[in-house]
Amino acid sequence: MPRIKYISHLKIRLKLYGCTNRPFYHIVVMPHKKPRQGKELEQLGTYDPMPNMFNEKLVSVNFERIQYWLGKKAEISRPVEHLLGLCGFLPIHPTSYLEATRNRKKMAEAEQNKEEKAESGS
Amino acid sequence: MAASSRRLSYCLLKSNYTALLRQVTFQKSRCVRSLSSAITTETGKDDKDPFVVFRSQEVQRILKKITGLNVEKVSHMVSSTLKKPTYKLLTEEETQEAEESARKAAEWKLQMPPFMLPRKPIHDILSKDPDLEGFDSSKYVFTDISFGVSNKERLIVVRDTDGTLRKADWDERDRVNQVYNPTTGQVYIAPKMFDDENLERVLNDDKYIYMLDRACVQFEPDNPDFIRVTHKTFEHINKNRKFDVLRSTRHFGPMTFYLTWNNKIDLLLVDMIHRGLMDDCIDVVNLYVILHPTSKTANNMQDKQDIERVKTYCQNDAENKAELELSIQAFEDSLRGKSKQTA
Repeated sequence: MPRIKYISHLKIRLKLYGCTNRPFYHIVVMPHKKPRQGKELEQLGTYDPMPNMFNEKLVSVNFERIQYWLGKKAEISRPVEHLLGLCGFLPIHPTSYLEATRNRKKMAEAEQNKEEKAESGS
Repeated sequence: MAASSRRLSYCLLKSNYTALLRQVTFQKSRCVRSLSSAITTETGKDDKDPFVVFRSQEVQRILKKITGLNVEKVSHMVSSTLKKPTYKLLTEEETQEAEESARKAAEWKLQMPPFMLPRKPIHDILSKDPDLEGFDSSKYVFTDISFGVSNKERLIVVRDTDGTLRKADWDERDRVNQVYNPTTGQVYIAPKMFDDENLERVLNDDKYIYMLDRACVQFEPDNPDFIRVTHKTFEHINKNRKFDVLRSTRHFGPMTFYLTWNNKIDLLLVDMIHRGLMDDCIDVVNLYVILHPTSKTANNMQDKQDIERVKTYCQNDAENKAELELSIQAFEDSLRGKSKQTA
């Protein structure tokens, strides 16, 4: 028997706001075939990807409504899944771990390069 | 019946506290803010929690009484937008009603900001995930914006760059609440005037009411900064004997409470005697007895009346004994002189 994956027609995803060089997102729920900037069914939160002066990225989520839409079989897009994983609402997304290991590797390499430069310089 | 009415009055007192207000004077705007979330009642185990004493009925009655009610001063405190005066022709009854409503409005404005201990810091780590270290170069702050959650109860968590998930501390909470649920008059970052070096300068200009009002708007009453600013202001007033500035404002009660709590009422008593407010003076001593039930004064206070109570305090616990004694004597002499004149 062929296995058919259930595809929801509802999607919780990011809708781009802001202006040139200053992105800002709303977390919204909308039918999955609509364009990114299409009309949403409901806004569920916001996400500001640019850190503020205290080096914080602010995310606000209406968890009550998210639970409601999940009950309506809404699917969550990957960026939103990533955010909800970080806040402890869902299990942490595997890509977050991947990104973390990559970043750590990069940082270690950068440090090594610095040390080598310092040694060759002196 | 009596019990139910007592319960009702208790409820009223409680509800009064849940709606403590904040008012501030700005150049052209006026904002009133309610402090419904201010009550973090400590369980009554700790006897030394001043808030429990502060909100007791007797203490409230005394503080309200000595604050006084000067309707003109209260209504002048808020400079709203300039308006043309309106003139009305009223009957005697209507004038009385208007006066009554003005008095009620003034009383409403005189509700005191509570005197509290500093709040306890939040150190609540929800999970540690070292595998997640370095996932981003900045922290993530997550706020629950579900409908009907108050600022005090709102769940705010932070994912640090080292992968720990923790509850936000008070600073972060205040800032994020101001972003998502702003309060009129409050600023995102506390003004520089509350820094210690600037604070001193403002106080030297005698801008006490301005400073206290501003602090009431900016901070919650259990914020350590609020406590630092108000206490410094009270100290400054006590040092320079400028008590009369605060009379008929909502800060007179907390100031008296602070001074009494810290055994510093001598100068206040002297000031009151000089102004001929002997009743207030006795009330302050009564307050002292309530706050310090184990002090010498409280022990020697049995069946003493009126001015004798002040004298008892003067003999037992006063620090500026000589000055206080002198002013009591001067007051008594003047009384005697008056009685002779009338005779």
